[in-house]
Amino acid sequence: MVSTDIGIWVGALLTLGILSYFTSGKQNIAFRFAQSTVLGISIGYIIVLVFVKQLNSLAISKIAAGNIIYIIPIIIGLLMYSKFVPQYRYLARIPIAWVVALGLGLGARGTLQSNIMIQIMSTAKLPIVGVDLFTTFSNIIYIISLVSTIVFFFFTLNPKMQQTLKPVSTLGRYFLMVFFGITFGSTFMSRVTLIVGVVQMLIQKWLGL
Amino acid sequence: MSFLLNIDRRIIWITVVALTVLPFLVPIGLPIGVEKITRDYYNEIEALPPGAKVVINMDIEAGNVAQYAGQAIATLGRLFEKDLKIIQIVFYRADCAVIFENVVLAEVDQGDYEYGVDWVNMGFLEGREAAYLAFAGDFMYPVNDHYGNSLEDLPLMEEMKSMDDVDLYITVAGLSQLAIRQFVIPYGMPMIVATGVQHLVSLKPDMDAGLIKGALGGIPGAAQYELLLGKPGKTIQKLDALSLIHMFIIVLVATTNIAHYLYADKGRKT
Repeated sequence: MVSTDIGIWVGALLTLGILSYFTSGKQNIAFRFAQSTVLGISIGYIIVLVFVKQLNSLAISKIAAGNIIYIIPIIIGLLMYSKFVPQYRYLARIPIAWVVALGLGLGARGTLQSNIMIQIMSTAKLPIVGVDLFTTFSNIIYIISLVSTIVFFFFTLNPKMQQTLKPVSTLGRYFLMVFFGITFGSTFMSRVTLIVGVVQMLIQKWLGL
Repeated sequence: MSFLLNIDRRIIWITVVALTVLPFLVPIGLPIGVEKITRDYYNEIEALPPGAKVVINMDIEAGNVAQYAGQAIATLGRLFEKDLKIIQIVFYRADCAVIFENVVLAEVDQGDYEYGVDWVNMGFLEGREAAYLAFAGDFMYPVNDHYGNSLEDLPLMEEMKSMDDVDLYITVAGLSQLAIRQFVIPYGMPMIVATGVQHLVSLKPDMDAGLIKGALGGIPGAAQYELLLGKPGKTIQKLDALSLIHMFIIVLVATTNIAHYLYADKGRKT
């Protein structure tokens, strides 16, 4: 039975508006209307939620409770708007520098361990003997691909050494190509998923089939 | 066969849509194998005793609902069944909190779970990695929950104060690298992820290193998890559609390449 929910109808008609792109391969009025509506609603909603809810719970309510120190991030944040006043636009560098420094600092925390140390340790611990044949084969391939791919990214070797390691480097290039192929295939799979979701919504929720 | 080289793209689109529609009208039930990473994901949740404390992060955007909703609904439903203490939080974008409320929570049977006592919905927390850091050390940092209640008034927050009190962290569509840096490494937190199939390749080193204990990959992962739970749902139909489209694309790639080899190259030589 066809849905009587107005929300489902709006969603279905906007979806059909977006899909109308495929009839001609060009943008048309239905496509542009749906696109602008979705973008407008999303951005409007996010702005309201961030300004009203987040600013209130993360800063204003804390200042109201006596934590005056929370006024500092608000001032730093407001400096971002100094870009609109030409003679004070340099002040916008302060919040930008703050954000960049914070990002770097937080990113550094744990990165050395998670992306380097633990990865090296787990590779070193890979069992070659005492496991089933498939695991042995798989782990040998893993180690060969790791070493050859690292060699591929050695750009500062002297020419003689570079020539010697060329077969290993070429093997690394092939492993990278396999990786890119798998990544492309799985990305394609995830994109196809989107059309499956859209069709499911139209068939089951809208048309009730 | 040369017609394949000049095929109208609309024919491909219509065929893809037709193959997508088919399993929803006529159930096919193609065979599904369960991968090890899915079994690990399942085992991590099943190993939790009643009363164990879980933080689940659902960063599902509107555009990704098709890929993640099945995983999210099956996982949250299982957590509610197992009598666990749950905090849900969104780190990615404000609209993800709306998706959680209307797409995931609306589909899950909450049983006799009492809000504030057994589970809390924190909603969206702004700040990305800084938010991960602040939240990990103090769960009261957001001050209010998604519905505007003060966290101080919710009894569950007495039991769950920081990541030190948590037994398992689950992220659905979340940024697992940030969670590894801020939760897994500093707190030794076991983490499982429900993610898109396109992310599984890049997560493989983290899984091999034990930083991620188990994973669901897109619709196939959700379908496998539903099978393990013994509750095959709508995701199975989605997987059938996905498999049919893949078969069509493989056939198309193979035949058009043969046609190209037979006709296009000959044309070039002459």
